[in-house]
Amino acid sequence: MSVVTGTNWNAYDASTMTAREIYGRTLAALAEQDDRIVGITADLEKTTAIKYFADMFPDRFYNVGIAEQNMFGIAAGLAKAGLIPFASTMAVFASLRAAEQVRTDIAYQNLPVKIIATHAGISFGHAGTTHHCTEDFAVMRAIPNMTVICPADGIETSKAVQACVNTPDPVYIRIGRGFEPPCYESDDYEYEIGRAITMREGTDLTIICCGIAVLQAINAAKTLEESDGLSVRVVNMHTIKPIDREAVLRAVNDTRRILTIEEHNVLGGLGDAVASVIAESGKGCMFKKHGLEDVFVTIGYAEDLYAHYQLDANGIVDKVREMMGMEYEEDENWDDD
Amino acid sequence: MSASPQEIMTAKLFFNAAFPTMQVLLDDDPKLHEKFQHFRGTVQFGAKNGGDLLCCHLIFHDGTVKVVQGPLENADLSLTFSEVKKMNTLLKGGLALPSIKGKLSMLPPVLSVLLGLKIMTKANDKLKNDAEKALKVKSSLYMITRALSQYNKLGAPDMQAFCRRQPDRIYQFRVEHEGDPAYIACYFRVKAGQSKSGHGIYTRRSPFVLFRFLSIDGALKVLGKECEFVEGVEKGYVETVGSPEYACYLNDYMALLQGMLT
Repeated sequence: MSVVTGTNWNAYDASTMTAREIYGRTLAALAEQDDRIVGITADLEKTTAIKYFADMFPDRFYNVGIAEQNMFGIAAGLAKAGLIPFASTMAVFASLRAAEQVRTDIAYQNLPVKIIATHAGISFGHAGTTHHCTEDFAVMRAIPNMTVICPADGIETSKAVQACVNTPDPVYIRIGRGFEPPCYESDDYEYEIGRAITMREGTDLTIICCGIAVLQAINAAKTLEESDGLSVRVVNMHTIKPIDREAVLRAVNDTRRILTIEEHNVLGGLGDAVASVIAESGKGCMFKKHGLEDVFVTIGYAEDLYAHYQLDANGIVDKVREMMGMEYEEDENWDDD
Repeated sequence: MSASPQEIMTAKLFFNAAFPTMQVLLDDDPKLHEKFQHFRGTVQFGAKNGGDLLCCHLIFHDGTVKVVQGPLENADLSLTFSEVKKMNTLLKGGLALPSIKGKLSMLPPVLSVLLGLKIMTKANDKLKNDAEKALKVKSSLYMITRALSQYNKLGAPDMQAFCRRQPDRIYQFRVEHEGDPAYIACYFRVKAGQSKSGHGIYTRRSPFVLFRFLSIDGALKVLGKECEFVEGVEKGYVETVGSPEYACYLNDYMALLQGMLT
């Protein structure tokens, strides 16, 4: 395993660390090299793992208490003073409770505040609807100047954090609760904001996905190849905005069938971003958005919810089979071997 | 005297989950394979329970064995215990004697395969070689996955509730070794109350939970109860991929069934 560029931990550790933890450690390592970096949170120092930064740089860290709107206002002020604030809180608070401050204090002035939004989607499913966050892509996409990123796992979170430090704009990085299995085995790959990554080549259908869905889509593609002989391309669209138009149009041309998968409401998220590219291209393509079908998600463990809402590999397999017009398996023999 | 519901459930689990594992022995144990290659005959095995007979019968035919629930008129050999508890005692490795009727010449081979099942409870340090270790792991996993499914089918209320609540899910068990990956692999499938145990690797869906034993020796330690499952994870004998909560639920049922059958 190679050492992650510019940090003092290596990717080997990533297999035992949560994405949040990797974020915290990456930030601390980056801050050693750049004293403009400051950390700020709203009473979620441990939960968002920014404590690794706080422990190393206590005089560059601010905990504003349970006051997310204030936090983003202060972050804007720090950015205005020439600093690069990393503001960490749960996604639901960043994108909904503090939406106005993010929009007006940060994005309107195009300030380089980096928003690290944890526990996104339904990763904190058992905490209830108040802590689910399935609207943030839609909110953040619609705010001018904002870059919206959703890494596939901890390693990619580190890549995204490193990549966003020197961008002059605000960036929203959406990560889960942190117990998601790793998708990448190493950090030895090219990462660029706005440039999608083809995880697996295929010619029958393309799955365009982000976040936790990437690993599930890869697993689904393997199953579909082995069981159904289908060749499924998997594109990791880690940057939702600006979207990689070329990757979408390549998929339209090469496979003519596109399925988007996102841990988000199907309205306003990745699926709609991809749909816009396809519609504007004027090219015909079989297309389906898969995600949370404009519902408030039920309460439960994340793994159960992913299975229930067909966001796991099996659910994706079923969605692809539906798109390919194939019959679901007829294996209804329940005799034990 | 009638047996308790618990004793009856245990006996049925032996008939439905442990006895079918004999086929693994006939396939993979060289001595038994040789012995049963051209063996044909029927054997009724059971115990009196009040006025009834709780039994199954085995049909041996040229290296295969089929387990059928219920009695068989004119079985070539009948082994009948005076009570269910005594039968269970013998099947768990204790001492109890049945009454024997029929062709006594069939008794030695039949006893050899019945005693062969004891490999699942044999101490790990008594296993002679790698082949015997692999046989213990394979037969134990086959039995336990079949027991999980049968426990549901036999009407255990908590297991039925567990299966009823789930959509189509695969709990896959795999043991890493040098040979064919499917050789020591089996799965437990549930779907809205139905259940099935299967051999090999289920390929139509990804497992909801994958129990991946990292070596045969590691599997032996966990299955032989030398360490608790959680300890096995910590020590690197086994890893689970997928829902940790459901891995725990299933592990609890596995421990319960292992307790009933050993």
